Amino acid sequence: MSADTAEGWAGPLRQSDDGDISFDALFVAVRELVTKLEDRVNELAARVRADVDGLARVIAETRRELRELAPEELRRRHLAVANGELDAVARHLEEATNEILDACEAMERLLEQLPEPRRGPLLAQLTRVYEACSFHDIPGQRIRKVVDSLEEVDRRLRQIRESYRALPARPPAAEEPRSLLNGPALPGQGTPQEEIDALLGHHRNPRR
Amino acid sequence: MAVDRNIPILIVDDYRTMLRIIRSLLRQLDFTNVDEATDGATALRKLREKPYGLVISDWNMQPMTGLELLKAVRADPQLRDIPFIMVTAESRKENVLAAKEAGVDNYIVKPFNAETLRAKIEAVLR
Repeated sequence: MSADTAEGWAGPLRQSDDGDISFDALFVAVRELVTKLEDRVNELAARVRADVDGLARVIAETRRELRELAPEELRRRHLAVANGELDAVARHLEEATNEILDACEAMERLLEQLPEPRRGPLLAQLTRVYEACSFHDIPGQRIRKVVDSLEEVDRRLRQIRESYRALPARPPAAEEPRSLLNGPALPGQGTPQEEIDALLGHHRNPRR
Repeated sequence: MAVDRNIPILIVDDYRTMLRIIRSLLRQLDFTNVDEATDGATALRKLREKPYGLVISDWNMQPMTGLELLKAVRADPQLRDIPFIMVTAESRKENVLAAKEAGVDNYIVKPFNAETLRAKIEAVLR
């Protein structure tokens, strides 16, 4: 019979021959019962404490990871830059395609002055250029898809920021290695070539 | 049967550059009576103002998509018989089937060449 059951705990009480329960037997039984209950409570308390400690570690780790992630910095710095760069790529692509189309249309007008036998093969080549220009729509749409994805990431990061407003600020980031100083400037943000030429004109090479 | 090269064609795309490319390719194919619209709503208005013999439309446009334009054209008793070609990067089978169900006459996947454009136009105009 198990000592954990009521029968088990009552065992010492049945040791009296005359059927009476002695004070000593009762004392021993109660003390055993109390000891077992204390052991059980201590065991449960240790288990709960371990679970709570584990939960606290997970929460602390999640907060640390979120702090490292720095959602606001990711949004303001990296996502905004990525969006701007992709916008610029799409714009440059469109501008380049229109330049090519301008040149093709000018050539078409010139070809009209040629006699038919010579014009045909040249027009066929021009058609190939027009066909090649239709590629421009594909990367444009791909870029739009990437921008949509970035906007979704931005939305999720804003949600994280709202959920963890109380997070302490991330320490300033160490200087990052850069493959370029600033990379190509976005339209309207860089220095125009004319200004660069003028600047170089004002600072002539003294060795000349 | 020869195809009438002077048939009025409406091309619809929200990318002006793409409109320009399609117009240039049509010119190479001797289709010179070409008008354009940069969205579905404008296209629908133009179609109701003047008779066109063919619509060549992109799918991905806002606020009215090419598919919505196609459905509006097919639902309009005055416009329902106009041949309609979808020119799009959407090449998934379900897209093609949706266009077919809506009554598209032909479907060109971008990027495309002049020969494909000629073949599809002649197929719907013959």
